[in-house]
Amino acid sequence: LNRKEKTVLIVDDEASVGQSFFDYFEDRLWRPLQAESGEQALEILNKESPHGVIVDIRMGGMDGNTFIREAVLKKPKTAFVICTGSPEYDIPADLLKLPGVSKHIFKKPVTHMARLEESLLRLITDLEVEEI
Amino acid sequence: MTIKTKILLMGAAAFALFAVLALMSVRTHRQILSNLEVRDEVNSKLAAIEEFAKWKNELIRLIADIAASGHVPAFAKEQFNPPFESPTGESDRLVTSGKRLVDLIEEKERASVEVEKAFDGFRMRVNGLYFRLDEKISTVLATAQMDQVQGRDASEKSALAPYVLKSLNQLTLVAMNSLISRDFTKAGKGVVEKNERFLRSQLHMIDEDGVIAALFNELFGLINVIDKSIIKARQKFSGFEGKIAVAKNDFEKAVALNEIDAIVADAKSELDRANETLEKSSHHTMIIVVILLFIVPVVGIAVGILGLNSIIVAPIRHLVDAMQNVEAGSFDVEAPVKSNDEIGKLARAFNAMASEIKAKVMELSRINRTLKESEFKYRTLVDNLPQRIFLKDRDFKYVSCNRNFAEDLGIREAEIVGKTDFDFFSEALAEKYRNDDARILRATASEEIEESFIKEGIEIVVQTVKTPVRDEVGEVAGVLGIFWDITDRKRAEEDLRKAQNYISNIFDSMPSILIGVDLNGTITQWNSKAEDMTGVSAEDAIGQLLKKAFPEMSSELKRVSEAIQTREVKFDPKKPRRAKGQILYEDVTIYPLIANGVEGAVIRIDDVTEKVRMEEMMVQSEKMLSVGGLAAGMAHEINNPLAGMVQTAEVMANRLSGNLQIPANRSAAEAAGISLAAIEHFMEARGIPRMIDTIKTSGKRVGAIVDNMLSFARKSEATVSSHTLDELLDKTLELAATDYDLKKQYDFKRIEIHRDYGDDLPAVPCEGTKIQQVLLNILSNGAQAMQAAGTKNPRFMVRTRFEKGRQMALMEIEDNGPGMDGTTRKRVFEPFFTTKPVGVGTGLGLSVSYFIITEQHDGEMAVDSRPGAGAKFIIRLPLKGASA
Repeated sequence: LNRKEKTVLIVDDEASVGQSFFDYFEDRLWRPLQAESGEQALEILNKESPHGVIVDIRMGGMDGNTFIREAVLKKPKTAFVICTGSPEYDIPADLLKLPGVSKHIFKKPVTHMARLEESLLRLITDLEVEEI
Repeated sequence: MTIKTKILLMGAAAFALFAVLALMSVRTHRQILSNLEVRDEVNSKLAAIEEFAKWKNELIRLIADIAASGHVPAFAKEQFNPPFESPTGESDRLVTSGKRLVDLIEEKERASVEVEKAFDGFRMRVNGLYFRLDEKISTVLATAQMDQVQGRDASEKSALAPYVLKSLNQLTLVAMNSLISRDFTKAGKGVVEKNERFLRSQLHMIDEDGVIAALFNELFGLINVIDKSIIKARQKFSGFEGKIAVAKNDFEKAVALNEIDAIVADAKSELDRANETLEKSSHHTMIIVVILLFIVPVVGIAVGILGLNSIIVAPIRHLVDAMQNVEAGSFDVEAPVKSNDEIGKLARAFNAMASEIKAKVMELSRINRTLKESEFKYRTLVDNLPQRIFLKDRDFKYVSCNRNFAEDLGIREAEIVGKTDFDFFSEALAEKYRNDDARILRATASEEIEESFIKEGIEIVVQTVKTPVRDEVGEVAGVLGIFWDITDRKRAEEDLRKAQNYISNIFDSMPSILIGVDLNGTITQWNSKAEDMTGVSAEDAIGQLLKKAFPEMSSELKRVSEAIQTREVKFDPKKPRRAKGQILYEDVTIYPLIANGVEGAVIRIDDVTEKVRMEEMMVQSEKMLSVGGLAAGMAHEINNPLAGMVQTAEVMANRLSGNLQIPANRSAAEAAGISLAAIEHFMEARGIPRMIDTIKTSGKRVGAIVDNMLSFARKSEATVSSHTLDELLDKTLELAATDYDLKKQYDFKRIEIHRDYGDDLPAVPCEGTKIQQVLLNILSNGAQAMQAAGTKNPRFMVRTRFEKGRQMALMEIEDNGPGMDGTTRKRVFEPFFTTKPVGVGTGLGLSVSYFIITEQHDGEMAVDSRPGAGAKFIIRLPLKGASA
């Protein structure tokens, strides 16, 4: 699996967090894209078709759930991994049904980013296998 | 006068009365008879008179007929003789005068016949003359008429002839009328004279030969004779008329003399008188009979009754009344003595007797009254006693009893005489009473017996005192019994005993030490808990002073007397006491006893050591709850910057100390003119990786603390669902084996796992992740402890059970590690209590676990451990789930 071929979109309004993901994925030879709001992320999706998206939930403006709902309409074959600082967050039922949404929520701070990367990769692979 | 004489006199009076009555009847009878004779006489007279009247009336009618008709029929005179003697005595005169009248009428009749004959002759002659003259005159008239026809002067003759003829007619008519009416009227005479003058002057003119004049002369002569005859006949008849009138008068006088009405009236009046007499007599008789036959007997009977009443009945009644009074018990009577007869004597004798009796009775009643008063006093006494009293004779037969006893038996007092116990009670009971009585009669001594008695069908307990009774000569004559109901008392005694038992049981079953003391501090109660705790038995303790038996409590004596004085409950909570090398906390409560004048107090001592510990822990828990609340609000705010920090440190570690051979590193090093090896060397030399690692570890710890603090938030949005504890345990064990952290510090796979799952364990409603968190916490603690202690064959024993009675699911996790000492055990759930080195644990793990189980699931969590004997965590979850 050639990681260089994979694009990941990082959606987080906390710049330092977003940046840390960006840096990590860059180091791991992904093509990272960054958006500081759901709206901005949707803009990007008009031009780009990332393999995976790392989504923060509590954001100013559009929240993460809404973003996923709209993003799925645009790019149904995209993998979404949720990463939130809200301890009481649960994935809404409608999102859980979507095959592209990871069932596992990553809580901030993500102390093992390798696990997150692993999860995202697995999800992307699953989606590709399903497609074939 | 005796009664006999009185009755004889009354009888005589009645006889006289009836004799008068008989005489009156005889007299009336006679009067009726004489009256009948008078009536017969009058009747025969009346018959004769009636006969005579009949004859007389016929005679009178006959004569009246004769007088009226003026004709005497043949044999008329024969009827003139009366058929019998005239009652008037004047019948001869009647006959004589009647005969003469009839004779005269007969004579007048004969004369009348002669006159009639003569008059008929005159009529014949008038008629003859008329026809002859009429013929002559008619001839004259006819001749005159002839002359005239022949033209001869005959006017004088023809004119005069009708006038002559008219005179002739007039004269004839007067003559005929006179003959018929037998009266020659002046008018008639005037007609005759006028016509005579006419004819004498004129006739000659037609009468050539004088024949007509001669005829008229003859007629005038006849008319003269007729006139004279009428006068003569009238004279003759008027003579007769006078004589007849005299005779008729005589006859009428005779008739008057023979008037019989007076006679009849006499006879009738005689009869009327007789009838009147008879009527009067009858009336008198009737009045007398009515008086005598009706009024007199009535009066007689009334008088007789009155007499009888006043003579016999009334005195006897008075006497009877008096006797009845005596019979009724009233001796204050006196029969009236109104006569000197037999009854009078009887009354007098009776009065004497009555006064004698009265004196005796008064004497008796005085004695009786005294007796009654005495009886009454005794009865009042006996009947009003609430006790039942009876007396039996030697043969066990009842002699008497009081009212209460009789009422119990359902009879009247008097009915008991002669009865025995077998008449009222069951065989067994009566037999028992009989034996008691016999024993008392034999021993001649009183006894008090507690026995049963049947009252209104209900068995009650009575206290009986039976005493032998002696007669006048000192012989035992019977048994006197007195008994009373002691059922209530017995029941009360029983109740009291039960109550005491009950109270004592309650006292002993109390988990508290309960000690009763009096005002002096002497122990009055000592329950089994007190025995256990002090090792002093109740026997030894009761009666001792509190300070001797329980010296630790002597300090409370002051408070005891205070409590009694103020009558207030004194409460001394959580009082520490050292016992068996430990500090115990005890609540000491002093309850003053103030009821019923029993002064004293109860000291209650409760061991609240556990409770105090728990309370302390709960206080901590409460604190953590508020921390949890705060954490929930802050977590996001902390987590984001923390993420920035920790994740950046991760990237930094990756770039600087991990795999330097990433393309960006390489290009950046090239651009800087430094080799990657040099950078790596520099980093190592300056300890940069260690520093980054410190940032990472510290950040992780902050994250863990925030996470754990969040667990204290009561509210959880996670849904509760049914989980099988076996599965939860298996999953957690698996997770533990793969856990990154666990693996890092020890090899979980080396630990032996024994599973002992109950068969019947039902699913439990709970939050699976939370329970897993708890289990994982216990397992990791256990694993760490075993690792640290170097346990040779580390082993986990996991058990599940279903506690049906409490409806709880039980989980046990037991290790064979080092165990804990008491202090650790007691504080193991306290937050921030940890035995691990600083920096290794947060000190919140078990505290959070305890919170999850007890607060969030309404369950129980406990630990059982001794040093060297491993630790066993026990978790119980309710099957009905958390109530909140």
